[in-house]
Amino acid sequence: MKKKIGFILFILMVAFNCNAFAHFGMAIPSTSMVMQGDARDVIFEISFSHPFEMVGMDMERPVKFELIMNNEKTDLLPSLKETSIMGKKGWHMSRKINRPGVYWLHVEPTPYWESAEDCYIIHYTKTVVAAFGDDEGWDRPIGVKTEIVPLTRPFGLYAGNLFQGVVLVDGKPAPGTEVEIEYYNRDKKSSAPNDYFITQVVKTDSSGVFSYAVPKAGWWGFAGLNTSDKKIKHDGEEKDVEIGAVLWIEFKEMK
Amino acid sequence: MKNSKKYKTGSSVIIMIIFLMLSFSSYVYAHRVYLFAWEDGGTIYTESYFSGNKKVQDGIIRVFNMEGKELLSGKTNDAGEFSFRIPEITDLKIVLESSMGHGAEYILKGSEISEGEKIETNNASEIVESIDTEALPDTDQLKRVIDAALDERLKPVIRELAMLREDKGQGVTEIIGGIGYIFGIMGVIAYMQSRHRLKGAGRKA
Repeated sequence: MKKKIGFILFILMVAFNCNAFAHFGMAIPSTSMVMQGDARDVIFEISFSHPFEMVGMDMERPVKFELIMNNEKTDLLPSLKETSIMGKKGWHMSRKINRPGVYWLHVEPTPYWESAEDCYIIHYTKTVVAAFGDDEGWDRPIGVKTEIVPLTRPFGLYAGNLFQGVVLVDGKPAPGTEVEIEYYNRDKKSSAPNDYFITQVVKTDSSGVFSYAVPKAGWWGFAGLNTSDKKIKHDGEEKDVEIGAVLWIEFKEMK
Repeated sequence: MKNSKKYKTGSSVIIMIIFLMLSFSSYVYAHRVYLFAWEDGGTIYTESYFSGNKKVQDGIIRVFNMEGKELLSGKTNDAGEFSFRIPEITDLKIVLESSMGHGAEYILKGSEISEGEKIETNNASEIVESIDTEALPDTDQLKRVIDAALDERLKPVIRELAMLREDKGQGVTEIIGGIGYIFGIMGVIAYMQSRHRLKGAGRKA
């Protein structure tokens, strides 16, 4: 009898884990646009968390942390410092933006072992800062394992705008990809009527394109999820790797 | 570049004619025009561009002080660039006039300009740090900045040498120390140049 109860509880626990929380690789700059007269220091906060429920998770030091501007990559990993984000281990650094341009930030984390799903998770996370009116390079892929390439310019956006992007895997559009979408509930003021609302889901079409009309101002994360062709060993066994193409962009309230 | 007095009636007429000619050309760009300016090693650089990364060619740049006095003017090149030596350490209003009435302006604060001047008188290690975090300057500016640092550091060494001529036997260790310092600075120059070469041409995209 005890074994049966234990088994049922275990199943419930696993089921609950799989459904409830959507963890996102997060890369949030203090501002998405730097204009003449603005402060030029931009602080980047990196974490692996649940953005709507504001539940943090410990994130190990990323494998890659780079700034890409017009095909020039700058390795910023040495400048990354440990910090606390949502009460758990996260990372941050400050960077001065002094020249016009579109600055892409890319984070590749260490593979995260998700026992509940019996797989590793790697969220290749991007965000973008546009400076001084320049917008060249907003629609250019940066050439990582998987990424979302915007079809809507990813800054200067209003809440209510339709955002479109292509999910690429190994540089090729990935049709039929599930894209999870979640709002960064930073001030915890937003509440969902039920669990379905916390992480919304859209799918990419036959061209690998997805669309989403953003209902509220703030930072929104889009995560196009696929399974990698490569596996990683866990305790001697080959395990699947979920690769996420994650993009964080900001939408402002229109006045 | 500096002599705005040369831009008088003759040039004004030519500019007017160019302006009229350009205003009859096809209206290709409905984009906003932007102007960006910064100081580096005693020179002020400007970049003029449309959104969509088209450069403003033959754009007229005028530089005013905050009282409205025009200090200098010039034209952007094919890459949308125009640079000039610092006319005054003060807040500068840099204005771009382009064809079809597009315009933009940039206020460059006096504090941003004077910071640049300070770099030339700091010691060598501080110069290396500030260059590392900013865009790499080209070789000429590198030489100017390092020359200034060398001057500062060699002054006491030269003084010591002069004193030694009169005061023999003393200060040998200081001389050796000074020479060691020169080697150190040459090492810094070699390192900066090799980094500059590795990074390839151009400091901006």
